[in-house]
Amino acid sequence: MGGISSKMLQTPTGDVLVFHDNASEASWVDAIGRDVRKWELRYGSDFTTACEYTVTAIGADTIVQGVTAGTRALITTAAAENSGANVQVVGTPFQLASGKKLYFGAKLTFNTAAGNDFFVGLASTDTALIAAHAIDVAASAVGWYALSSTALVAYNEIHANSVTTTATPVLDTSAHVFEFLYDGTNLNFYLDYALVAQHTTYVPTVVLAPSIVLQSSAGGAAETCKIDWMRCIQLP
Amino acid sequence: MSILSKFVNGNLVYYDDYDYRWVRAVGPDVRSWEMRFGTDFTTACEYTNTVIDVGAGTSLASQAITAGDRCLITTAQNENDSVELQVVGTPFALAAGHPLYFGAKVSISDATQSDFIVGLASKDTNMIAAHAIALADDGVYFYKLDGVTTIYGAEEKSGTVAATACGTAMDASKHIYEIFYDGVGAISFYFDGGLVVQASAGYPTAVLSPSIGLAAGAAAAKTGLVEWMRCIQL
Repeated sequence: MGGISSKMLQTPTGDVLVFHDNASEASWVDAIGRDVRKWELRYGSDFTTACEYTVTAIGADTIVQGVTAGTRALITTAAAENSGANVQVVGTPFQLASGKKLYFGAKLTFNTAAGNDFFVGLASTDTALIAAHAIDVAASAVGWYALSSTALVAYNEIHANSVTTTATPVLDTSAHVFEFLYDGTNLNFYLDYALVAQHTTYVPTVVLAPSIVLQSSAGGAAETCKIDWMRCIQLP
Repeated sequence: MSILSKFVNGNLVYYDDYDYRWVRAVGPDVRSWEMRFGTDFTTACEYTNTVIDVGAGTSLASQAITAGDRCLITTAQNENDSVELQVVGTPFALAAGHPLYFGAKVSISDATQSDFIVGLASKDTNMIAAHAIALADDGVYFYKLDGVTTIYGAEEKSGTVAATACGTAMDASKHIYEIFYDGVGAISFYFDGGLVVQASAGYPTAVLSPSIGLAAGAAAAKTGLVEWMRCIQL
Protein backbone atom coordinates (compact mmCIF):
# COMPACT_ATOMS: atom_id res chain seq x y z
CA MET A 1 0.00 0.00 0.00
CA GLY A 2 0.97 3.60 -0.23
CA GLY A 3 2.82 4.41 2.93
CA ILE A 4 2.05 5.64 6.40
CA SER A 5 0.48 8.80 7.77
CA SER A 6 -0.17 9.95 11.31
CA LYS A 7 -2.86 11.92 13.04
CA MET A 8 -3.51 13.16 16.54
CA LEU A 9 -6.71 11.79 18.03
CA GLN A 10 -8.33 13.29 21.09
CA THR A 11 -9.26 11.02 23.95
CA PRO A 12 -10.91 11.83 27.29
CA THR A 13 -7.46 11.93 28.87
CA GLY A 14 -5.61 13.78 26.12
CA ASP A 15 -4.23 13.30 22.65
CA VAL A 16 -2.76 10.13 21.16
CA LEU A 17 -0.61 9.93 18.04
CA VAL A 18 -2.05 7.29 15.69
CA PHE A 19 -0.22 5.97 12.65
CA HIS A 20 -2.36 4.55 9.86
CA ASP A 21 -1.95 3.03 6.45
CA ASN A 22 -2.48 5.57 3.69
CA ALA A 23 -4.95 3.11 2.19
CA SER A 24 -7.41 3.85 4.98
CA GLU A 25 -7.51 6.11 8.01
CA ALA A 26 -9.21 3.21 9.76
CA SER A 27 -6.24 0.92 9.21
CA TRP A 28 -4.19 1.68 12.29
CA VAL A 29 -0.68 0.31 12.52
CA ASP A 30 0.53 1.92 15.74
CA ALA A 31 -0.40 4.43 18.40
CA ILE A 32 1.74 6.36 20.86
CA GLY A 33 0.35 7.55 24.15
CA ARG A 34 0.86 6.96 27.84
CA ASP A 35 -2.20 4.73 28.29
CA VAL A 36 -2.49 3.18 24.82
CA ARG A 37 -3.34 -0.52 24.90
CA LYS A 38 -1.71 -2.43 22.10
CA TRP A 39 -1.31 -6.11 21.37
CA GLU A 40 0.36 -7.53 18.27
CA LEU A 41 1.14 -11.09 17.29
CA ARG A 42 4.88 -11.36 17.71
CA TYR A 43 7.44 -13.01 15.51
CA GLY A 44 8.76 -15.79 17.69
CA SER A 45 5.54 -16.22 19.64
CA ASP A 46 5.22 -19.13 22.03
CA PHE A 47 2.21 -21.16 20.92
CA THR A 48 3.16 -24.31 22.79
CA THR A 49 3.13 -23.69 26.51
CA ALA A 50 -0.22 -21.94 26.98
CA CYS A 51 1.59 -18.93 28.40
CA GLU A 52 0.74 -16.51 25.64
CA TYR A 53 -2.12 -18.28 23.89
CA THR A 54 -4.83 -20.72 24.79
CA VAL A 55 -4.71 -23.13 21.85
CA THR A 56 -7.53 -25.63 21.64
CA ALA A 57 -6.82 -28.24 18.98
CA ILE A 58 -9.61 -30.60 18.04
CA GLY A 59 -7.40 -33.14 16.31
CA ALA A 60 -3.83 -33.12 15.06
CA ASP A 61 -4.05 -29.40 14.37
CA THR A 62 -1.23 -26.95 14.93
CA ILE A 63 -0.31 -23.31 15.12
CA VAL A 64 3.39 -22.60 14.74
CA GLN A 65 5.68 -19.71 13.92
CA GLY A 66 5.57 -19.15 10.19
CA VAL A 67 8.56 -20.33 8.20
CA THR A 68 7.52 -18.25 5.22
CA ALA A 69 9.22 -14.88 5.36
CA GLY A 70 6.79 -12.26 6.59
CA THR A 71 4.40 -14.75 8.13
CA ARG A 72 4.13 -14.66 11.91
CA ALA A 73 2.06 -17.79 12.38
CA LEU A 74 0.78 -20.75 10.40
CA ILE A 75 -2.32 -22.68 11.39
CA THR A 76 -2.64 -26.15 9.87
CA THR A 77 -5.64 -28.38 10.42
CA ALA A 78 -5.74 -32.13 10.26
CA ALA A 79 -7.28 -33.60 7.11
CA ALA A 80 -10.54 -34.30 8.84
CA GLU A 81 -13.85 -32.49 8.74
CA ASN A 82 -14.29 -30.08 11.67
CA SER A 83 -10.75 -30.56 12.86
CA GLY A 84 -8.99 -27.32 13.64
CA ALA A 85 -7.42 -24.93 16.10
CA ASN A 86 -9.08 -22.31 18.30
CA VAL A 87 -6.48 -19.74 19.39
CA GLN A 88 -6.98 -16.94 21.93
CA VAL A 89 -4.56 -14.59 23.66
CA VAL A 90 -4.35 -15.48 27.35
CA GLY A 91 -6.13 -12.86 29.42
CA THR A 92 -8.86 -10.63 28.09
CA PRO A 93 -7.13 -7.31 27.63
CA PHE A 94 -9.71 -5.45 25.57
CA GLN A 95 -13.22 -4.23 26.14
CA LEU A 96 -15.37 -2.03 23.94
CA ALA A 97 -16.25 0.96 26.07
CA SER A 98 -18.05 4.12 25.12
CA GLY A 99 -15.71 6.77 23.79
CA LYS A 100 -12.66 4.52 23.65
CA LYS A 101 -11.76 3.87 20.03
CA LEU A 102 -10.48 0.39 19.22
CA TYR A 103 -8.91 -1.06 16.11
CA PHE A 104 -8.51 -4.73 15.25
CA GLY A 105 -6.92 -6.06 12.08
CA ALA A 106 -5.40 -9.18 10.58
CA LYS A 107 -3.85 -10.08 7.24
CA LEU A 108 -4.61 -13.70 6.41
CA THR A 109 -4.03 -16.09 3.53
CA PHE A 110 -5.93 -19.37 3.22
CA ASN A 111 -4.88 -22.29 1.05
CA THR A 112 -8.43 -22.89 -0.15
CA ALA A 113 -11.26 -20.45 -0.64
CA ALA A 114 -14.20 -22.55 0.49
CA GLY A 115 -12.69 -25.49 2.29
CA ASN A 116 -12.58 -24.04 5.75
CA ASP A 117 -14.44 -22.42 8.58
CA PHE A 118 -12.68 -19.47 10.13
CA PHE A 119 -13.20 -16.62 12.55
CA VAL A 120 -10.86 -13.76 13.34
CA GLY A 121 -11.47 -10.91 15.74
CA LEU A 122 -12.13 -10.37 19.44
CA ALA A 123 -14.09 -12.85 21.51
CA SER A 124 -14.84 -13.70 25.08
CA THR A 125 -12.89 -16.64 26.42
CA ASP A 126 -14.24 -19.70 24.62
CA THR A 127 -12.58 -22.91 23.47
CA ALA A 128 -15.11 -23.56 20.70
CA LEU A 129 -15.90 -20.37 18.82
CA ILE A 130 -16.87 -22.49 15.80
CA ALA A 131 -18.55 -25.88 15.91
CA ALA A 132 -20.07 -28.00 13.15
CA HIS A 133 -19.62 -25.31 10.51
CA ALA A 134 -21.40 -22.68 12.57
CA ILE A 135 -20.45 -19.83 14.87
CA ASP A 136 -20.78 -21.23 18.37
CA VAL A 137 -19.81 -18.25 20.55
CA ALA A 138 -21.16 -18.65 24.06
CA ALA A 139 -20.93 -15.02 25.10
CA SER A 140 -19.67 -12.22 22.87
CA ALA A 141 -17.56 -11.70 19.77
CA VAL A 142 -16.84 -9.26 17.00
CA GLY A 143 -14.94 -9.96 13.80
CA TRP A 144 -15.02 -11.69 10.47
CA TYR A 145 -15.89 -15.24 9.50
CA ALA A 146 -16.48 -17.61 6.58
CA LEU A 147 -18.23 -20.94 7.00
CA SER A 148 -17.69 -23.60 4.35
CA SER A 149 -18.13 -21.06 1.61
CA THR A 150 -16.38 -18.09 0.08
CA ALA A 151 -18.81 -15.65 1.63
CA LEU A 152 -17.04 -13.29 4.03
CA VAL A 153 -19.20 -12.05 6.85
CA ALA A 154 -18.72 -9.10 9.20
CA TYR A 155 -20.27 -10.03 12.50
CA ASN A 156 -20.82 -9.10 16.12
CA GLU A 157 -22.75 -10.92 18.80
CA ILE A 158 -23.99 -10.75 22.36
CA HIS A 159 -25.35 -14.03 23.64
CA ALA A 160 -26.77 -15.38 20.38
CA ASN A 161 -28.07 -11.98 19.31
CA SER A 162 -25.97 -11.05 16.33
CA VAL A 163 -25.66 -8.69 13.40
CA THR A 164 -24.06 -9.81 10.16
CA THR A 165 -23.20 -8.28 6.81
CA THR A 166 -21.87 -10.31 3.90
CA ALA A 167 -19.17 -8.54 1.96
CA THR A 168 -19.31 -8.31 -1.81
CA PRO A 169 -15.79 -9.59 -2.42
CA VAL A 170 -15.50 -13.30 -1.75
CA LEU A 171 -12.68 -15.29 -0.22
CA ASP A 172 -9.91 -16.60 -2.44
CA THR A 173 -6.39 -17.84 -1.81
CA SER A 174 -4.80 -14.40 -1.90
CA ALA A 175 -3.90 -12.41 1.20
CA HIS A 176 -6.74 -10.31 2.57
CA VAL A 177 -6.94 -7.69 5.30
CA PHE A 178 -9.79 -8.09 7.78
CA GLU A 179 -10.38 -5.09 10.04
CA PHE A 180 -12.88 -3.38 12.22
CA LEU A 181 -12.79 -0.04 13.98
CA TYR A 182 -14.94 0.71 16.99
CA ASP A 183 -15.42 4.46 16.87
CA GLY A 184 -16.49 4.72 20.47
CA THR A 185 -20.13 3.97 19.62
CA ASN A 186 -20.47 1.77 16.52
CA LEU A 187 -18.54 -0.97 14.77
CA ASN A 188 -17.20 -0.29 11.30
CA PHE A 189 -16.01 -3.30 9.30
CA TYR A 190 -13.43 -3.13 6.54
CA LEU A 191 -12.29 -5.73 4.03
CA ASP A 192 -9.10 -4.94 2.16
CA TYR A 193 -9.36 -1.35 3.42
CA ALA A 194 -12.87 -0.81 2.01
CA LEU A 195 -15.81 -0.12 4.31
CA VAL A 196 -18.26 -3.01 4.22
CA ALA A 197 -20.73 -2.16 6.97
CA GLN A 198 -21.42 -0.24 10.11
CA HIS A 199 -23.14 -2.18 12.89
CA THR A 200 -24.88 -0.25 15.63
CA THR A 201 -26.50 -2.96 17.73
CA TYR A 202 -25.32 -5.92 19.79
CA VAL A 203 -21.92 -4.32 20.29
CA PRO A 204 -20.17 -6.50 22.91
CA THR A 205 -19.41 -4.90 26.25
CA VAL A 206 -17.60 -7.71 28.06
CA VAL A 207 -13.85 -8.28 28.17
CA LEU A 208 -12.46 -9.82 24.99
CA ALA A 209 -9.33 -11.53 23.72
CA PRO A 210 -7.78 -11.44 20.25
CA SER A 211 -8.87 -14.72 18.68
CA ILE A 212 -8.54 -16.77 15.52
CA VAL A 213 -10.08 -20.10 14.57
CA LEU A 214 -9.48 -22.32 11.55
CA GLN A 215 -11.27 -25.59 10.94
CA SER A 216 -11.44 -27.92 7.97
CA SER A 217 -14.92 -27.90 6.52
CA ALA A 218 -14.64 -30.81 4.14
CA GLY A 219 -11.86 -33.01 5.40
CA GLY A 220 -9.70 -34.99 3.03
CA ALA A 221 -6.91 -32.43 3.03
CA ALA A 222 -5.25 -30.15 5.51
CA GLU A 223 -6.33 -26.54 5.52
CA THR A 224 -3.92 -23.75 6.29
CA CYS A 225 -4.05 -20.11 7.28
CA LYS A 226 -1.00 -17.86 7.21
CA ILE A 227 -1.10 -14.84 9.50
CA ASP A 228 1.05 -12.01 8.19
CA TRP A 229 0.02 -9.79 11.07
CA MET A 230 -2.70 -9.43 13.63
CA ARG A 231 -3.02 -6.51 16.04
CA CYS A 232 -5.38 -4.67 18.30
CA ILE A 233 -5.01 -1.08 19.49
CA GLN A 234 -7.27 0.74 21.93
CA LEU A 235 -7.08 4.36 22.92
CA PRO A 236 -7.64 5.48 26.51
CA MET B 1 -2.19 15.24 27.72
CA SER B 2 -0.73 15.61 24.32
CA ILE B 3 1.92 13.62 22.56
CA LEU B 4 4.97 15.59 21.56
CA SER B 5 8.34 14.57 20.22
CA LYS B 6 11.90 15.76 20.51
CA PHE B 7 15.39 14.61 19.63
CA VAL B 8 17.58 13.49 22.52
CA ASN B 9 21.10 12.28 21.83
CA GLY B 10 20.09 11.83 18.20
CA ASN B 11 17.09 9.66 19.05
CA LEU B 12 13.45 10.56 18.47
CA VAL B 13 11.64 10.58 21.81
CA TYR B 14 7.86 10.81 22.21
CA TYR B 15 6.58 12.15 25.52
CA ASP B 16 3.33 13.41 26.97
CA ASP B 17 2.43 15.89 29.74
CA TYR B 18 5.96 16.17 31.05
CA ASP B 19 9.32 16.34 29.32
CA TYR B 20 10.48 13.37 31.34
CA ARG B 21 7.44 11.14 30.71
CA TRP B 22 8.77 9.21 27.77
CA VAL B 23 6.34 6.84 26.08
CA ARG B 24 8.36 5.75 23.07
CA ALA B 25 11.80 6.30 21.58
CA VAL B 26 13.11 5.53 18.12
CA GLY B 27 16.77 5.10 17.37
CA PRO B 28 19.23 2.40 16.40
CA ASP B 29 20.61 1.98 19.92
CA VAL B 30 17.52 2.72 21.98
CA ARG B 31 16.99 0.28 24.83
CA SER B 32 13.29 -0.11 25.38
CA TRP B 33 11.35 -2.63 27.43
CA GLU B 34 7.61 -2.65 28.02
CA MET B 35 5.41 -5.20 29.75
CA ARG B 36 3.37 -6.85 27.03
CA PHE B 37 -0.25 -7.84 26.87
CA GLY B 38 -0.10 -11.62 26.72
CA THR B 39 3.10 -11.83 28.72
CA ASP B 40 4.43 -15.20 29.89
CA PHE B 41 4.66 -15.02 33.69
CA THR B 42 4.81 -18.75 34.28
CA THR B 43 7.83 -20.34 32.63
CA ALA B 44 10.65 -18.07 33.80
CA CYS B 45 11.42 -17.22 30.20
CA GLU B 46 10.52 -13.53 30.48
CA TYR B 47 10.37 -12.97 34.24
CA THR B 48 11.96 -14.41 37.32
CA ASN B 49 8.85 -14.90 39.40
CA THR B 50 9.63 -15.48 43.07
CA VAL B 51 6.61 -16.65 45.02
CA ILE B 52 6.59 -16.95 48.78
CA ASP B 53 3.69 -18.76 50.39
CA VAL B 54 4.14 -19.18 54.11
CA GLY B 55 0.99 -21.27 54.47
CA ALA B 56 -1.93 -22.50 52.46
CA GLY B 57 -2.76 -20.99 49.11
CA THR B 58 -0.74 -19.98 46.08
CA SER B 59 0.44 -16.52 45.18
CA LEU B 60 0.78 -15.82 41.50
CA ALA B 61 1.24 -13.33 38.68
CA SER B 62 -0.98 -13.73 35.66
CA GLN B 63 -2.32 -11.91 32.65
CA ALA B 64 -5.03 -9.60 33.84
CA ILE B 65 -8.59 -10.37 32.86
CA THR B 66 -9.57 -6.76 33.51
CA ALA B 67 -9.47 -4.95 30.21
CA GLY B 68 -6.51 -2.63 29.95
CA ASP B 69 -4.42 -4.23 32.65
CA ARG B 70 -1.36 -6.21 31.66
CA CYS B 71 -0.66 -8.09 34.86
CA LEU B 72 -2.55 -9.17 37.95
CA ILE B 73 -0.54 -10.05 41.04
CA THR B 74 -2.45 -11.97 43.68
CA THR B 75 -0.92 -13.01 46.96
CA ALA B 76 -2.19 -15.96 48.92
CA GLN B 77 -4.03 -15.31 52.16
CA ASN B 78 -1.23 -15.41 54.71
CA GLU B 79 0.77 -12.50 56.08
CA ASN B 80 4.04 -12.14 54.11
CA ASP B 81 2.83 -14.21 51.17
CA SER B 82 4.29 -12.44 48.16
CA VAL B 83 5.09 -12.28 44.49
CA GLU B 84 8.23 -10.62 43.15
CA LEU B 85 8.75 -10.22 39.40
CA GLN B 86 11.99 -9.25 37.72
CA VAL B 87 12.61 -9.17 33.99
CA VAL B 88 15.08 -11.90 33.10
CA GLY B 89 18.44 -10.34 32.39
CA THR B 90 19.58 -6.99 33.71
CA PRO B 91 19.22 -4.80 30.64
CA PHE B 92 19.66 -1.37 32.20
CA ALA B 93 22.38 0.54 34.05
CA LEU B 94 22.57 4.20 34.95
CA ALA B 95 25.53 5.47 32.98
CA ALA B 96 26.73 8.96 32.12
CA GLY B 97 25.50 10.11 28.74
CA HIS B 98 22.62 7.64 28.68
CA PRO B 99 19.40 9.16 30.03
CA LEU B 100 16.81 6.67 31.26
CA TYR B 101 13.10 6.71 31.97
CA PHE B 102 11.20 4.17 34.06
CA GLY B 103 7.45 4.34 34.63
CA ALA B 104 4.63 2.17 35.88
CA LYS B 105 0.91 2.65 36.45
CA VAL B 106 -0.18 0.34 39.24
CA SER B 107 -2.89 -0.09 41.83
CA ILE B 108 -2.84 -2.25 44.95
CA SER B 109 -5.95 -3.47 46.68
CA ASP B 110 -4.98 -2.62 50.25
CA ALA B 111 -3.30 0.71 50.91
CA THR B 112 -2.20 -0.16 54.44
CA GLN B 113 -1.91 -3.92 54.90
CA SER B 114 0.61 -4.50 52.13
CA ASP B 115 4.26 -4.22 51.15
CA PHE B 116 4.96 -2.95 47.65
CA ILE B 117 7.98 -2.14 45.51
CA VAL B 118 8.30 -1.05 41.87
CA GLY B 119 11.27 0.22 39.90
CA LEU B 120 14.68 -1.01 38.78
CA ALA B 121 16.64 -3.39 40.97
CA SER B 122 19.61 -5.69 40.91
CA LYS B 123 18.88 -9.39 40.78
CA ASP B 124 17.29 -10.38 44.04
CA THR B 125 14.65 -12.93 44.93
CA ASN B 126 13.93 -11.20 48.21
CA MET B 127 13.37 -7.51 47.57
CA ILE B 128 10.90 -7.31 50.45
CA ALA B 129 10.99 -9.51 53.54
CA ALA B 130 9.15 -9.32 56.86
CA HIS B 131 7.70 -5.91 56.03
CA ALA B 132 11.05 -4.32 55.24
CA ILE B 133 13.10 -3.57 52.15
CA ALA B 134 15.53 -6.48 51.82
CA LEU B 135 17.06 -5.73 48.43
CA ALA B 136 20.68 -6.58 49.01
CA ASP B 137 22.50 -4.48 46.47
CA ASP B 138 21.26 -1.80 44.11
CA GLY B 139 18.15 -0.13 42.83
CA VAL B 140 16.06 2.93 42.16
CA TYR B 141 12.48 2.34 43.14
CA PHE B 142 9.33 3.30 45.00
CA TYR B 143 8.11 1.31 47.96
CA LYS B 144 5.64 1.22 50.79
CA LEU B 145 5.63 -1.08 53.79
CA ASP B 146 3.02 -2.81 55.88
CA GLY B 147 1.00 -0.84 58.42
CA VAL B 148 1.45 2.56 56.84
CA THR B 149 0.39 4.33 53.66
CA THR B 150 3.58 6.31 53.18
CA ILE B 151 5.17 5.88 49.77
CA TYR B 152 8.89 6.43 49.36
CA GLY B 153 11.09 7.17 46.41
CA ALA B 154 14.41 5.46 47.04
CA GLU B 155 17.86 4.96 45.63
CA GLU B 156 20.07 2.17 46.87
CA LYS B 157 23.74 1.64 46.16
CA SER B 158 25.55 -1.38 47.55
CA GLY B 159 22.89 -1.80 50.19
CA THR B 160 22.81 1.81 51.35
CA VAL B 161 19.34 3.24 50.93
CA ALA B 162 18.31 6.88 50.75
CA ALA B 163 14.54 7.31 50.78
CA THR B 164 12.22 10.30 50.59
CA ALA B 165 8.53 10.19 51.46
CA CYS B 166 5.93 11.26 48.92
CA GLY B 167 3.52 13.93 50.00
CA THR B 168 0.61 11.76 48.94
CA ALA B 169 -0.42 8.64 50.82
CA MET B 170 -1.15 5.30 49.19
CA ASP B 171 -4.74 4.37 48.40
CA ALA B 172 -6.35 1.70 46.24
CA SER B 173 -6.43 3.82 43.08
CA LYS B 174 -4.09 3.62 40.11
CA HIS B 175 -0.96 5.70 40.53
CA ILE B 176 1.95 6.52 38.24
CA TYR B 177 5.47 5.89 39.56
CA GLU B 178 8.27 7.34 37.45
CA ILE B 179 12.03 7.68 37.66
CA PHE B 180 14.12 9.80 35.32
CA TYR B 181 17.90 9.79 35.11
CA ASP B 182 19.18 12.70 33.03
CA GLY B 183 22.43 11.05 31.96
CA VAL B 184 24.41 13.84 33.53
CA GLY B 185 24.21 13.30 37.24
CA ALA B 186 20.69 13.77 38.53
CA ILE B 187 17.99 11.22 39.17
CA SER B 188 14.41 12.34 39.82
CA PHE B 189 11.46 10.49 41.31
CA TYR B 190 7.91 11.47 40.34
CA PHE B 191 4.64 10.31 41.85
CA ASP B 192 1.56 11.03 39.73
CA GLY B 193 3.53 13.70 37.93
CA GLY B 194 4.77 15.48 41.04
CA LEU B 195 8.45 15.60 41.89
CA VAL B 196 9.22 13.66 45.07
CA VAL B 197 12.95 14.13 45.19
CA GLN B 198 15.92 14.76 42.97
CA ALA B 199 19.29 13.32 43.92
CA SER B 200 22.72 13.89 42.50
CA ALA B 201 24.56 11.18 44.40
CA GLY B 202 23.94 7.80 45.92
CA TYR B 203 22.35 6.17 42.93
CA PRO B 204 23.67 2.84 41.63
CA THR B 205 25.67 2.19 38.49
CA ALA B 206 25.29 -1.59 38.53
CA VAL B 207 23.06 -3.45 36.08
CA LEU B 208 19.37 -3.37 36.96
CA SER B 209 16.17 -5.09 35.99
CA PRO B 210 12.58 -3.80 35.84
CA SER B 211 11.03 -5.16 39.02
CA ILE B 212 7.79 -5.21 40.96
CA GLY B 213 6.78 -6.93 44.18
CA LEU B 214 3.71 -7.18 46.37
CA ALA B 215 3.38 -8.85 49.77
CA ALA B 216 0.39 -9.32 52.05
CA GLY B 217 0.67 -7.28 55.22
CA ALA B 218 -2.03 -9.20 56.99
CA ALA B 219 -3.86 -12.47 56.68
CA ALA B 220 -5.87 -11.83 53.54
CA ALA B 221 -5.10 -12.00 49.86
CA LYS B 222 -3.89 -8.77 48.27
CA THR B 223 -3.89 -7.85 44.60
CA GLY B 224 -1.93 -5.53 42.38
CA LEU B 225 -2.89 -4.47 38.85
CA VAL B 226 -0.26 -3.27 36.40
CA GLU B 227 -1.77 -1.16 33.63
CA TRP B 228 1.60 -0.45 32.08
CA MET B 229 5.26 -0.59 32.97
CA ARG B 230 8.09 0.50 30.70
CA CYS B 231 11.73 1.49 30.68
CA ILE B 232 13.49 3.45 27.96
CA GLN B 233 17.18 4.30 27.80
CA LEU B 234 19.09 6.18 25.12
